[in-house]
Amino acid sequence: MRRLGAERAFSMDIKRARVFVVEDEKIMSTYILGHLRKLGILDLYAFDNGAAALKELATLKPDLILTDVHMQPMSGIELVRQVRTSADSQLSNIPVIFLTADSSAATVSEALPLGVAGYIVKPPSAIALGNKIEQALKSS
Amino acid sequence: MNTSPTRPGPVHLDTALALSQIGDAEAMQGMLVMLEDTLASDVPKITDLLLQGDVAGASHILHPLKGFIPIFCNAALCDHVSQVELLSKSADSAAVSAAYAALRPKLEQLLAEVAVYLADGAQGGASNAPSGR
Repeated sequence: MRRLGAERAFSMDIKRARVFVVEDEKIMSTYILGHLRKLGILDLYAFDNGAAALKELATLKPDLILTDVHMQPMSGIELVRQVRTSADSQLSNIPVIFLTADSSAATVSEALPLGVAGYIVKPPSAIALGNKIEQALKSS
Repeated sequence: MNTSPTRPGPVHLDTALALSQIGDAEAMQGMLVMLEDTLASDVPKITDLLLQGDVAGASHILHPLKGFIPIFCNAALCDHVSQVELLSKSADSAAVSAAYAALRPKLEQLLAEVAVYLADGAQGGASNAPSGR
């Protein structure tokens, strides 16, 4: 049996997108990256915490950031705070999608004021991930 | 007459579910190896942390577990992990220790099921049939 769950045709925009995946848990990172490749998104950069991603942000200028919330030494929330305060508007407006193991009110209420494009509960299906990314890129 | 001993199928591991979510068998195999390593390390570590009264430390490990367990396991185990993880955010050490004492044997059984699946796969005879779903 082979069900990818990603057969829906996504626009070329999402396939051309450069995406940062910031996730400290190896299994989840592998799972997310696998789904993104199946969606045709190949310009991928993986980081295991917000500080590592932030360091490469200005150089690599991603179109989208998918980030976990709870990480050390820098959380996803802090990463987005730093991104939003960038003097470069191309960077400060990068759409961000939070990857979260729960959709608790506390997590959502912390994320929303940061202008995130949305959040997705782990583990997402490929199709849910694709839909969320397409929506985020369209509205950016 | 077939007299070969029958081995009970997995209760918690659902490889058909994992395959449907991950998308291909090779990737699933690699992720099961990661799951085996993670469980072997984290399951006893949670007990150690709780014995030291470090509920926040235990919660820090339970949280990602809650996130990736649904890739591989049936709903009953996912629900149990979620309950203990939720408890670890607010309850005291004794309550979390008692809750984890009930969860730990299931995680150990999951670890054993993953090991059996990977060993069978290495011999070319992995079964995809879960019995607990």
